Amino acid sequence: MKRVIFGTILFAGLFLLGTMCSPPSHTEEHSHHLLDEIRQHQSPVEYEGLSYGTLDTSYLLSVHADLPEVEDFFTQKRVSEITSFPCANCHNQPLEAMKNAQKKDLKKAHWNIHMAHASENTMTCITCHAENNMNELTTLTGELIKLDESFKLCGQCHSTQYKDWQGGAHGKQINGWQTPRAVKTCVSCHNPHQPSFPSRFPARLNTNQLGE
Amino acid sequence: MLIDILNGKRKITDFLPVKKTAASSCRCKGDGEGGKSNLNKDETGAYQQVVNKKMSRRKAFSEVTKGLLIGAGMAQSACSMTSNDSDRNTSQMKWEEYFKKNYRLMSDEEKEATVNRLTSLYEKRTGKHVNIGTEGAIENVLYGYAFNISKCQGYMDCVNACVKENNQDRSTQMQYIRIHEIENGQINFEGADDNFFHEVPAAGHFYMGTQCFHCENPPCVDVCPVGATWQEEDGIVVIDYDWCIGCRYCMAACPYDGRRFNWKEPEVPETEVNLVQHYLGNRLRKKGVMEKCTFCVQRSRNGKNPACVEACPTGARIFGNLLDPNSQIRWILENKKVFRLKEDLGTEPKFWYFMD
Ligand code: SF4
Repeated sequence: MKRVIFGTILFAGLFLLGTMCSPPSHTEEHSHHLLDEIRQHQSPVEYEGLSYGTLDTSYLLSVHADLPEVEDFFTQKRVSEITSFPCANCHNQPLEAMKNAQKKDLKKAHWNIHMAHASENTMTCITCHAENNMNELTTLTGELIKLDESFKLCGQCHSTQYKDWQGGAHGKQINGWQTPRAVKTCVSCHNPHQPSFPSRFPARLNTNQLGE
Repeated sequence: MLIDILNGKRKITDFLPVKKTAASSCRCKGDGEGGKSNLNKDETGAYQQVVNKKMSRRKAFSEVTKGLLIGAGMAQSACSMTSNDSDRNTSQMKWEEYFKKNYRLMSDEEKEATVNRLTSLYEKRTGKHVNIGTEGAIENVLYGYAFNISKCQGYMDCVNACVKENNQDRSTQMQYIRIHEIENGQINFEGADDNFFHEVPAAGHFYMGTQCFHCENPPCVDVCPVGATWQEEDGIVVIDYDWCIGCRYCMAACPYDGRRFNWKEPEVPETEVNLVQHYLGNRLRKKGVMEKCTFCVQRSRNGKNPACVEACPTGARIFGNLLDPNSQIRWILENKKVFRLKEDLGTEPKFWYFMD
């Protein structure tokens, strides 16, 4: 019995001593700020031994970012995915010539392309497609741009998205989360002729707390 | 040590390997066998030999009961025609599983042993080979997540991918991710619709996803009485499903509704089980244990993006290494206007929201 009492007293004493002598540990833990800690890490990280995300550059294009803080990254090439490339196989004359063709001949091909991108006053086919070289695209000022680099074209108007895409806030990374990044290009997700995402039904019912 | 524990500087579970601690005794009670654990005093009969070896209570208990089991097994096999070596093997493996350590205290060999047991038990049951990984954190990696509120359209593809990837219970429709439909002009979860099913995006609404935020100061970890949940080096908060006693303290402590409980035996159709698993990730759970998002530890530690990130068709979900200055997540933190939920709590979630 004595031992029990003695034990209890000792325990209580130690407990009191403990609580008095040291500051509450939680505030101590919480006082460091995560962001500050993160920012201290400024040297690039090497991901050795991670096989996933090893880049097969044969289908990728290296992009040199306009933003000084962003290192070069990769994006998908495009031409290999276009089934009827080169376009000049059919388009053997400039678009100008087709304009003079009879109305009934218009739109025999590409009947499935419906334009829903800005208004007709703003954009037509030749805002992006080079009138005299159907294998390539054109900037607003008439510079030729390869189909693989179509993101430069989009970036002319959508400058915020373009910036976010280069930094990584817009778009999707395809090589996992490692760096250097490989990201989807604009037209991998957006149909350039109807770039906005359609509304649709969700993939499943949202079942918050059905089972809880 | 006592003072440290009392002050909360160190948790009682920090001492797990040396002592018979709260953890082991709790677990014994949880298993309904607590009364037997004073075996050391029982110096009678056949157990003597086992007990006299110097060993922890847990070990002793395990050894003794193993002996019992084998004895019972022998008796049974003597009387029955159906019992055979493989049955006995199975029950022995089950027994060893029952008495294994907390994952954090396992040596590499012990990890391998439990993985082998789990795989062969699964193979015996289903004939399929499951791959249970034990990859540890990658050096210089701290995972973080960003969610673009302007991009999310409420398509729910992420939820589908998550359920499939992580072998979540289909019968209660468990989902780690919640997508909240919120009316424009407010950011209030009380008024959010969490059960929408109509064409999305609904006019005048935006969508916000929540899941486990893998807080840097996770309250759920602090409250777990048995040390069954903890934060790994790469910041992922994980659960040892075989150590969890199902008290749900952590669920109550989480300010973000990040944890999910198995109220019943989880059901995943045999054909839909994702066989690429991680011990701390998507391996099959059982009734009465906690689970939650692990940033798809079985994927992320191999360099892949979590399933939700990969599935999202809008690019609203971004995942990466916070310690890598070239990662997308770092650029977002530096260049976008980001915020987190309930920042004032000091939990420091590693999950940021931002807008275009
Ligand atoms: S329910 Fe949560 S707090 Fe309770 S033992 Fe399991 S992980 Fe720990």
